[in-house]
Amino acid sequence: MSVHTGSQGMLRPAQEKIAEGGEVGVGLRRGEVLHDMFWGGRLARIGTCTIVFVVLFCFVGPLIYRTNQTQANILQLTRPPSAAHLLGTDGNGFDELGQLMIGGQSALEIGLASAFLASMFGALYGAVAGYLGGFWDGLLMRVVDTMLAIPGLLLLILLAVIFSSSLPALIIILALFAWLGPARLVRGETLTLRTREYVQAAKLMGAGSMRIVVRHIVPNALGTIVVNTTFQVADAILALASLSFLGLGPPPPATNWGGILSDGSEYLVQGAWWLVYPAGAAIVITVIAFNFLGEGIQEALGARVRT
Amino acid sequence: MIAYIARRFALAIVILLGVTLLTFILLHAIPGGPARGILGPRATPGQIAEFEQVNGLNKGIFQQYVLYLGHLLHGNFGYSYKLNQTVASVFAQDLPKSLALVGPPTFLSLAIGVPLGLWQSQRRDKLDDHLITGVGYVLYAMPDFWLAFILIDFFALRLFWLPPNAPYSPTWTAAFTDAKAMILPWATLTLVSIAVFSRYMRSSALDAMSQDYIRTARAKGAQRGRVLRKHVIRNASIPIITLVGLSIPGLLSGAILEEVVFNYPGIGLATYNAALDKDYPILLGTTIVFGVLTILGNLVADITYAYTDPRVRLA
Repeated sequence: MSVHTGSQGMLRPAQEKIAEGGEVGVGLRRGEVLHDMFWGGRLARIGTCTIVFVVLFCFVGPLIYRTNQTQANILQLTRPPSAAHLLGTDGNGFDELGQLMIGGQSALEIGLASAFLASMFGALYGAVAGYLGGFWDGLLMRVVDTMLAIPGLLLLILLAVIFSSSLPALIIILALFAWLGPARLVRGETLTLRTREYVQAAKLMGAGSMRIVVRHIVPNALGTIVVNTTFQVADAILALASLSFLGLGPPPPATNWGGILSDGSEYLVQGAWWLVYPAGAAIVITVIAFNFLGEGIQEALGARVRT
Repeated sequence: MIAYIARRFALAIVILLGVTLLTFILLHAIPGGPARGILGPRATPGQIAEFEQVNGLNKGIFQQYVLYLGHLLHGNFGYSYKLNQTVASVFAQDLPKSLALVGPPTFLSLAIGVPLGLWQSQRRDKLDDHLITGVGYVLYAMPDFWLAFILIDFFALRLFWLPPNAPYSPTWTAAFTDAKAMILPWATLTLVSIAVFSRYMRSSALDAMSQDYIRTARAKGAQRGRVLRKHVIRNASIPIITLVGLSIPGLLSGAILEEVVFNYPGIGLATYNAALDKDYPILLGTTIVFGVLTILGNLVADITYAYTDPRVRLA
């Protein structure tokens, strides 16, 4: 989470309560803001801890719990949990716990990347639409309405089928499905921001539309954007899981929680619960953690978001 | 009111046109071009040239779009060469089955979720409120298909109470004649939607309870029950109308996943198979039909809302 734009943007909602004028961020430093966001409330704290745990599990876990995840072992197919394989083995003979770690890596990476991409694009789009207003606003927002009229999963399927699902393509596809929310949010925010004195002042000084949007509007909507990005990560992880379940996720040998769940479900009839429950639990825990963090940050910033 | 409806209609038509434009663009974004995409990788150049001639794909791009719109208006959604069937006939056959899948859960989840949310708002911050909120949170964060697997695992594979698959029948009536097999699919969709509706109703009711008119009513000496019935429920329920309209795309997305999990031959399963087969006419047709359903749902919701709450019309 970048806070390069300085405390001005981050503090807007809190500052509003103090004064409408220019006294920005009186008495609050950047570090305190970050502390409040990630450690301020109970929800934020639970969210942060869980996310740190999941990240450690996925990225540091494989260094401690070493398993062979490259060669299929046909003598060890779908074995129940044992001392050698704490969560058993899957249909390829891979250690399930190891699979969960690797699968989590791509789930987190893809989720974060696409959420970030979606928020950046959506925020800019919404800010431009809201700032320009009138005809352009109408046109740009009808594009958003149109895409919202198509069920998200269907749109994902369509895009994944047309633009085959390589990793970068998948990130873009998930972002294409997710930028609509932030676009709407930031547009709404922009409609109020553009009437503010500092925007008027910038305009008077001869700043162009692009400069005003990038330097004044987006930074001031940053609180909204950050909160929404956090929710977006959760949504992206869920969307990726659904897509992988339908066989349109990253192709093997790459794996992620949704794919593990999908493969494992074929062995459910044989009673292989360890291939279905842990992967699903991993998704639920991670999604809840990001939602908690989002709500925590929202509380800390006092911003009213979430479409 | 009429002006409001007219405005909403015009907007719906604009969005509908947008959806067709989007599918048209996607049709042309298919690698190798639309003819190659529809006929498949083994089509000869001659077949492709003929297909392009017959379907006007060699005309200017604008003419092609007008032609495409004309086809859609006549109910011609294209032809699936993979299924050897018109796309419209696939819908006629499968869409009713999908509606039979998502219909009952929608009503059921409203019937349970709304009172549940109301109950929670009255028991705010008590143990049961937190408990229900917690369960709702988990359901909300759960992939639909995982919930389905859990239910299948327990009720079908361990307890043998219910069949693990939905009825596989060419008619939609099977959903009701063989209702036992529909219990798990319906239950999955219901549980997911209850979480959404109760959560929304809870905050909507809390919102209503903090209004001035509630305090006034209480100050006049109205009993709690009366205030609840006459003021809170009425005002808090109105936004639910919009929510039902908004939840249609989610329900349809859920239907795709449920139909795959339970092997239920509705439009969702057809879409899934089309995705695996790269059957573009079906995929694009589904997009338009789902788009129309969503737009219609929102339109009906908006008009109902304006009808129930006159304040909206003036906004």
